[in-house]
Amino acid sequence: MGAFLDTIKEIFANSGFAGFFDFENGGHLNLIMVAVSCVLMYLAIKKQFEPLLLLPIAFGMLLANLPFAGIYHPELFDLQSGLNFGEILHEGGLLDILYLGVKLGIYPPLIFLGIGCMTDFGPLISNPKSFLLGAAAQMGIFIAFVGALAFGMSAQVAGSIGIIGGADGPTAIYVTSQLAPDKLGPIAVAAYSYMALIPVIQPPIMKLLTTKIERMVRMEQLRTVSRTEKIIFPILVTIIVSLLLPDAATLVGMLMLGNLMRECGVVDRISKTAQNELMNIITIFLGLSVGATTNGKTFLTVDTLVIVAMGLAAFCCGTAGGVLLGKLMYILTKGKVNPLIGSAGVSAVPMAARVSQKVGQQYDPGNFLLMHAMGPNVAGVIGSAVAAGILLTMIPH
Amino acid sequence: MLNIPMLPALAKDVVEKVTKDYTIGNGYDWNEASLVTFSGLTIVFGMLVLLVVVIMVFGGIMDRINGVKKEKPVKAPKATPAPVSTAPVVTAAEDSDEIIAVIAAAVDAMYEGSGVKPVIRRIKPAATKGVRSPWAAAGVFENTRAF
Repeated sequence: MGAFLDTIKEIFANSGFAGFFDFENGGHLNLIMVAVSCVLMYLAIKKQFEPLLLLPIAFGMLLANLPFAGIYHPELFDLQSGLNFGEILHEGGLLDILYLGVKLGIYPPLIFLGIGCMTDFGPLISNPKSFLLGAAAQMGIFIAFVGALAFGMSAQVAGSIGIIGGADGPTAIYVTSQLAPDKLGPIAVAAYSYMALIPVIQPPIMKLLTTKIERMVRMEQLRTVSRTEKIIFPILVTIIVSLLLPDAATLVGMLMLGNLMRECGVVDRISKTAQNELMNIITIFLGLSVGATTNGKTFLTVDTLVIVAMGLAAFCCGTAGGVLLGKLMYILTKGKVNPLIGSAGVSAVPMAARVSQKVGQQYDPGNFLLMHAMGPNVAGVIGSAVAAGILLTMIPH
Repeated sequence: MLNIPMLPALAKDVVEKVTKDYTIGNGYDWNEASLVTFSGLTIVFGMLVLLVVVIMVFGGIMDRINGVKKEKPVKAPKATPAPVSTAPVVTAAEDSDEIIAVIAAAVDAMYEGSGVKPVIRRIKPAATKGVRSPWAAAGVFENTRAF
């Protein structure tokens, strides 16, 4: 009987339950992270907050915080000792192998490939001034960068926090995986949570910075864009941006490749694959990998609170920047541009454009701003990729 | 309870602590931070302004090319708004001419510029029993696709 009880005790001592009570090694923090992961899963499933990514992230968080499961080993990716691929392959678990796609910067460009296949740049081509609104909305990135520095963050972490303001999940993950991979978990969770909260965050800022008359401006119908223009656009953008800013070439190049595949019409099969099967596979791998980095010890820190606060500030400043430039364009064009479309300059396609449409319709039900807002919206994707390239170029890593 | 007369001194203490203790790490200083910020904003704006100019020039060229084509009335494609079939279009009894015209215009708009001349041979109501309406299906697809 004694041996039986000893066996039971030994099994329990080696179980994950005992791991939660290993306070010296942060077991209680893992328990808190399991609870956080359950909350995120609730938000993803019940409230539908960006479920396609938040659900895998939340489940990756759960898996990584189960003691002794050995699914993810952060020590294998210790920056100071460098990556030992042989050790990762021999000693690593499932999420260690999947995480290589994040670490080596593979997943985000592939997601951009799918995004390019799904994006119609027609509204942007027909009204190129939308590019300026996309640029203005990236102001939030640099304001958050300075704010994070003021809070004592290193430049690398500040740059990773700043890129949250671009409202572009893959870009945020790409930059963070290069600059501050140890902060990948909280930054990804913050970025996707705020993207899901755009319909809540943006309208008050839009209404604060615009007058009722400005919100009711009806814009002229966009010109028709020919297929030739839509084919040449991605080629031109890739050449110009990549030559001027090589660090942005990966993201912008893949975005434009996807778009070219969509617009040329002769590679329909691989275009469909890129925007469906490939996108879904990468989404699963990326979400799981990113979630796995949210270990209790690295996630439950004061830095995470700073990331959450500065991420929100970045979003708000980006929205404000776009709206303010929209107001300037309203003045300069003598009332032809509705400033509400400026808020769509953040890269959350198509949510931010829908928010512009919804707010505009509150004041004029017959005002259809959606296609006008899609111009700055897709310009913001390019703008945030350019901003990412700048951060990667100028911040040492 | 807070000692209100002490609040200004307390606030000063906090500000001093923040500015003194929370300094930028890793040898990075405010000059470099300013450089990154202003350079970054300038480059982002500059690059996108360049793209604006290039696309506007390109759009102008394309408009001019298309405009040249329109000036040749002999070779210009007939501006038939609807793809008309010589064969009689089989329709449901309740379809009116107006509905047929709208459908034909929509089909023509879809194929505009592609060089394809569509021919409508049959119009019939789509199955609705147990099937989500096209608008609802489009909405579901739009809201459930990634990003």
